Amino acid sequence: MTNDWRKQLDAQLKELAIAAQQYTQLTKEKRIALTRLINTIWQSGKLVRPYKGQFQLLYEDIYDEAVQNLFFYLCQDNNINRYDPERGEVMTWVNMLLTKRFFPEAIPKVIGKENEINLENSHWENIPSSQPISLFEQVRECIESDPEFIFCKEHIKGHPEANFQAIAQRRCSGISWKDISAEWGIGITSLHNFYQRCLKKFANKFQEYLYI
Amino acid sequence: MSKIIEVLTFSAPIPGDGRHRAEELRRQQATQAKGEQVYLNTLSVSFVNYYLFCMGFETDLNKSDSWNVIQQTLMDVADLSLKNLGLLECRPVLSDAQFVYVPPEVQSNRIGYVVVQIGKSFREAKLLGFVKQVQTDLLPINQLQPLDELLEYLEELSQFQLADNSLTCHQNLVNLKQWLENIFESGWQEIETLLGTPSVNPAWSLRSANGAFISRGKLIDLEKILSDAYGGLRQRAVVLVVTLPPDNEQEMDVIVEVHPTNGQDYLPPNLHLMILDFEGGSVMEAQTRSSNKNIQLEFSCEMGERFSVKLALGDISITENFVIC
Repeated sequence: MTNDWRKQLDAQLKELAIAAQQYTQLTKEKRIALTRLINTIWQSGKLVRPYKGQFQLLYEDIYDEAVQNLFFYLCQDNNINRYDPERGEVMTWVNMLLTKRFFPEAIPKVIGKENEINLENSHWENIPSSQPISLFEQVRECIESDPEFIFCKEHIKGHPEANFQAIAQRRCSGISWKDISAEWGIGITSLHNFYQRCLKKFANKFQEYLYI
Repeated sequence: MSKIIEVLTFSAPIPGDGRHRAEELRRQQATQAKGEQVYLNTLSVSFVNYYLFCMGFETDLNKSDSWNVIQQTLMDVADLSLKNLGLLECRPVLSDAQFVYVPPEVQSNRIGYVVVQIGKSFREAKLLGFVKQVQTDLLPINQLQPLDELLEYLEELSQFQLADNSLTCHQNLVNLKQWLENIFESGWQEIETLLGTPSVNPAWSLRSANGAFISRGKLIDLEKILSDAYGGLRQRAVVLVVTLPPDNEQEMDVIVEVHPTNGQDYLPPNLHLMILDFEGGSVMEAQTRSSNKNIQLEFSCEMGERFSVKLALGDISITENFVIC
């Protein structure tokens, strides 16, 4: 039974690989064949796990990175044509690629990153530790204090009460669009269209205020 | 026996940098619930971005609201910007979910919605399917279209975009500043000629102290475009109306509407009206339901700004380009 299942898997993968080889351009048909091929490889649970027992906690990160790059490789530049159906099964070919190329290549990428993280952390985490305040709180405070009175001035036409500051404060407190709409008698679509436009408009302002 | 997967889905690991970003952003939120939402949205966008990258589509995370830390904090958003095509919303669900939540603020201005099932380990994910439009906050998972349809749809959109670009780059810009001096481009006619009424809104016929509303309309012959593409299957023409309210000084207010032609009561359903910025990104959108008499969008522009108005019905779209200078 197990043997049958494996044979069936191999036959299915071979068929999908050959289907993907039929197209030189990334057409819909080729994309579908590649999606199905990768999905079947991943779901089969038959991808090898090379260097098992090494790298401790980083193993999963290295493995995922390697698999990502392997799948990307299969989709790019007609690399799928490098698979020769005469010479063996698809699973053998991709497992060889994973062990010999993509896993070793992923090791320095992940381990290197791990060392970098403390040095060049993302900007919004670079806030000094004397200020253990979340981004959410900073944004909320910034909208409330409105140092240049721009957030309270920007309002929906004819509705000064429906200004950006008032809407953002309500959204930050978890009040639904429906309730805000009922409060002011303004349609939900107008409200969030306006809100989204404001967020775009003030994007640079926020960056300036929050040093991000 | 293996289960031969009939419906096309895609599962793979979630990119490591996406997971790290999701984790960092989660810690920045006020409540656990908001943290979870930001976490799942970020994982979901990162996964779809990886998949579409593999499939050879150009994406731009930096043009996606979901990738802006402020917008992710202040909205429930999981959009992914596809170059020249628009925003694809990537809604996350956990395993066993029957419905996917689509917040009202993302129910417009999207080319489609993909649903991403985040695995229990939060290390892998699965694309379950997609829909082009949503009209409800809770979309049943079993109503999704399979992934093949998404690939086909994106391929079609890319081709139309190519055709569209070659069409619009030769098209003249309509200069709205000149409208204030009563200079109108050909094709832009008086409302009365097109609709049989002096104005689309009776109140606008009155002159105010600061001047009058300036309205002009253009007959948009979707029929001609449709018949070219589909051998005259359907016939529709609509009137695109652009109105400049009085008292336009630094910022110019613009009202864009679509009306049925004289004699018709309703607009065709699923007609999309979009305002695009100068790069072709959609900034506002409205859409007709089964019986709409008209649709309208209102916005402000600054001097020198360029924008486009796009009307789309099914696969057919036309774009009019405007400038204010």
